[in-house]
Amino acid sequence: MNFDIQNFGSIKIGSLELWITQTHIATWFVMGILICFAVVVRIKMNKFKDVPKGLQNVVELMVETFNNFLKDSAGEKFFFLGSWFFTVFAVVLLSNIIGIVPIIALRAPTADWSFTVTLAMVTFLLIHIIGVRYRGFGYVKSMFEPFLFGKIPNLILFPLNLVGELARPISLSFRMFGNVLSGTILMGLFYGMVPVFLRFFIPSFLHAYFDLFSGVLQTYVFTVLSLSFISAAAATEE
Amino acid sequence: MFDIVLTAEGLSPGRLFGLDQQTLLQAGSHLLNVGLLAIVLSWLLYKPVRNMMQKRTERIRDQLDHAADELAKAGELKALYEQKLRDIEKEKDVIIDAARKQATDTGRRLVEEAKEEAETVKTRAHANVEMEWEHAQSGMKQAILEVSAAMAGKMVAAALNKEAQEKLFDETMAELEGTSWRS
Repeated sequence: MNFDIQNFGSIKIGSLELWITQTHIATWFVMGILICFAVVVRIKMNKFKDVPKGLQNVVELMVETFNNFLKDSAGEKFFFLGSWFFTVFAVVLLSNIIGIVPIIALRAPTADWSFTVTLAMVTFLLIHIIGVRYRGFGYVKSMFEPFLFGKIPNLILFPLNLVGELARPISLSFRMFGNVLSGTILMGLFYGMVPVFLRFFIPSFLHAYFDLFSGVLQTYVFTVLSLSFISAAAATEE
Repeated sequence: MFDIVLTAEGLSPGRLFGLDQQTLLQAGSHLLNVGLLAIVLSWLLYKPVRNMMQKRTERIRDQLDHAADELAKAGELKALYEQKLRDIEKEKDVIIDAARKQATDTGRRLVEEAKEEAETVKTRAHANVEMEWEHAQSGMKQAILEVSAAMAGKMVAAALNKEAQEKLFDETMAELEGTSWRS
């Protein structure tokens, strides 16, 4: 039984070779679904009314729930990050639960570390950009905390703080990667080991846990942690 | 110079995890994909819907504020009308009191006038009675005189002397007057 990420081709850019993997295919599929949904919403938006119903209800529920989530996690001053994290939330959620449809037989993009680390690195960059933007030199000084005698930067602690900062994207990416990959492997083992007649009904519970529950939970955890780190980086000492 | 070639020949075998240049390239491609998706979703879905909801919220808030203003104005008008109603009630009471007082005065005046008129009528009636009484008395005197004359005639006829006639006449008159006045 092979759980490797399969390659379907490659793109050569000069001397570099980029593999086109299962993750790309699944990502494009997820992107396609989301873009189609967005186009439909954009077309129907002209007919949206004050009292929502049907598709409008669903769309408003999504956006409003996410805005409330963003406000609770990071605060209203980070609404400008809403577009990025809305996309991250949507793409990670859909990627995590895409395995619930066995007919499509797509491997969740989030079961590829290169995908999760990409999102985690964006979070890492945002943490430091926003930290410097909101706190300026104070944010750089915070790498030397706690200060000696309350005011002298502690050079010895800088490496530890640096490792702590670098650990954030690594832990973020591996947490989601590990959880989704474990679900993928377990589901693969189940389908590979049991007789055909047991592949109906019973997997529903496994999919409900490994794909739906774990997928939603991991999406929530990833987004909440990202927003919390960003919010903490911008928080001034008051 | 970059040379982009899509090929399926000599594919590397798949892998589960790696920390190399390929991982960086993969991450770059994923960043491109998700970044592109973020731009599209932001342009088509997230921002338009959020703006629409914000505008609707502001519009509803304005409507609520307007309704609150209107309610406050209505409250003020209601208070004003109630004050006017109270004033009207007071004015009504004043008018009714004045009318009642006027009616009482008029009634009293009418009663006084009626009493005066009744008194006048009574006085006139008394006068009439007096006049009738005198008229009746003079009629009676006349009748008595006639009767006396008749009696005298008869007595004369019976050959009475003058003294006896006068005595008789006086006694008769005295008796007549005494009985008439007593009755």
